[in-house]
Amino acid sequence: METHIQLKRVTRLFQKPGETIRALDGVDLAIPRGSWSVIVGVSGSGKSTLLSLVGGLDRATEGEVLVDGRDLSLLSSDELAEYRRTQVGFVFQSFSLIPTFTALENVCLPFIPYKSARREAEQKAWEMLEKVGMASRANHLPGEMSGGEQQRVAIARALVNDPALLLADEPTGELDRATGEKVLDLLRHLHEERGVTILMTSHDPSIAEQAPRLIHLEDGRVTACVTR
Amino acid sequence: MLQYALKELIRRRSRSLLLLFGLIVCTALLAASLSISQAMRNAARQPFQSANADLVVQKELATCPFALVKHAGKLGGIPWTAVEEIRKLPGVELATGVLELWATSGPEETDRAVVTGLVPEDQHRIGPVKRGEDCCQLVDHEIGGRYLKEDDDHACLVEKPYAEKHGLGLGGQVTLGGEPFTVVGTLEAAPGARISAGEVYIPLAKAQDLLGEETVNAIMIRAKDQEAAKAIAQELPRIIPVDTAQGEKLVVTSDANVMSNVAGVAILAQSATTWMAALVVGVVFLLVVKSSLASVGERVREIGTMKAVGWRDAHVARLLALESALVGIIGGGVGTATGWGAAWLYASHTRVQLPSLLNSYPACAKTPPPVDMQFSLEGSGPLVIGAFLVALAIGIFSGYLAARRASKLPPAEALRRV
Repeated sequence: METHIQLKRVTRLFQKPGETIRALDGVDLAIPRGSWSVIVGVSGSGKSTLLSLVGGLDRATEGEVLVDGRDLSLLSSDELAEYRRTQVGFVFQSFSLIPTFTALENVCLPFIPYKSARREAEQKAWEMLEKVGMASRANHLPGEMSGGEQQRVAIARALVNDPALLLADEPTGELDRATGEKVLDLLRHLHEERGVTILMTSHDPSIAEQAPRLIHLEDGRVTACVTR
Repeated sequence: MLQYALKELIRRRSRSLLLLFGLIVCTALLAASLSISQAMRNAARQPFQSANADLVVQKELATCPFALVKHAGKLGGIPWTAVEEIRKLPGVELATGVLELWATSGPEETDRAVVTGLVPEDQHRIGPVKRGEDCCQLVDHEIGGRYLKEDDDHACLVEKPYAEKHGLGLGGQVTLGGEPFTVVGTLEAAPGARISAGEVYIPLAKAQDLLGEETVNAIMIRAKDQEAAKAIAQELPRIIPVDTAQGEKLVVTSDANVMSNVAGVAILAQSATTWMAALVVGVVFLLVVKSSLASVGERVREIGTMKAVGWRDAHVARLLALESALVGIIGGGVGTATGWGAAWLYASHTRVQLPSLLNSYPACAKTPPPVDMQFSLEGSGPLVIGAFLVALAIGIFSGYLAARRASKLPPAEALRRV
């Protein structure tokens, strides 16, 4: 399988008063294109940091993060923004929807600063809301929706740009089990339909059990990488 | 982007309203105080503009006893030679003298006309009947009405209200101090106070004959510029000596001191308002800056989300700057309109009169004396725009600070914060 993402001896240090925190410590990892990988590990093991580096939200202190062979550490701030806009979709644990925007407007968020794409964006946003079963709630504000509905809207937003990579940081962390299952089913369906590479973090053992590819992180190191 | 900025302002309604209120108050105070200040300057300048003079020199005396013809009010005589000497001073463009009299015009003691004797050669250029839109026009020009001529003897000009009151027209007769004068023209004056305005105007030489003195009681001087006017004013006590032991006092009036003589309290209040406006501008500036920065702090996660979905640093910065600019535009706009409205109300309802020495109509005058100074907001436009720009600058500067902070925020760090 073609490698989509490759991490080579990636280290990420955080400086705090009086101490240096080693969030990632010489991580080597390869993620195949179109795969579904779940990163597991205790809190503070470096899961979210790894996702941030792959998503171009953060830069490695040492090592290389290669996406399609391109080293993200060599990109400027604007190039990273463009990378995130065109190639990455993010789903967060706390949904991160803009509270004053309707579901439709939230899905359009990536396009707002780009005038030329706005009409096309609205059309795409509608399609995505239909796909995640939220078209009927398009004009509702996040405050008027349940957690599961908000996460569906967040998934629609993450996929509205047709990204090749979906990064999901504990996407079911704030949902009850049944709603979490529905969200996972939706992600699975979209994964199969679109062939998107999915990299997800989770605490939930049941999610880990179902994952086709499991990456164990401990103290910033990859301790196991299991493909089922 | 604009839609998002507006929604954000509405979402943070309390904060937005507080900021808007602060900006409205500060802009309104600034606009009002600047406009009122301009209205006061206009009011003080207007009588001098109407006479085309920068300085008016008079000698103040105790009131004289009743006579058929006497100096108006408390005015004292100044020898005509003083006018000639003033004309020779450097920086003097024009100078003339007028003799303002109260003369009996009927059988009753109270039938007194306010008569101003003026130099016919000067009447079009300087003095109480100067021709022009800001002063006087002949209403009967087309049917033969005219100004005074050098060789006129018993000729007079009359003000329109006086002519209407006494049924006078061209060729009509006015009796002054027992002597008949023929009306050669009727004057209509622009509204507003005029210096040494009379009801009837006669040649200066004839007025001096009536009074029996070769004097004037007001000298009007047009200076080359403000500096020259100051230098001329310093020379006047030398040219026109006064006998202080007899209660005489030399009074030199200019637009700069007329307001301080007449509207001292108003000026004090206006000055206090200006200081208050400056203070409020400072406080509001700090409030807006602090609030804009706090807004970045409160929206860290939101900013992180925007960056995560592909917004560039510049996009986030533009959004925050736009929000602050909107507050500046709305607050500045409403504040400017409110302040200008308040200034307009003030200007429309304020009545300030010329110092009596400059227009000494007797209490028993039967036609209305032109003593009300005109408060107009003419020329206040740039000042009001300036007040608006202050509000806008506060908005933009605070937006710039907020934008700078937001654009520097690393997205991963922003998303870690809750």
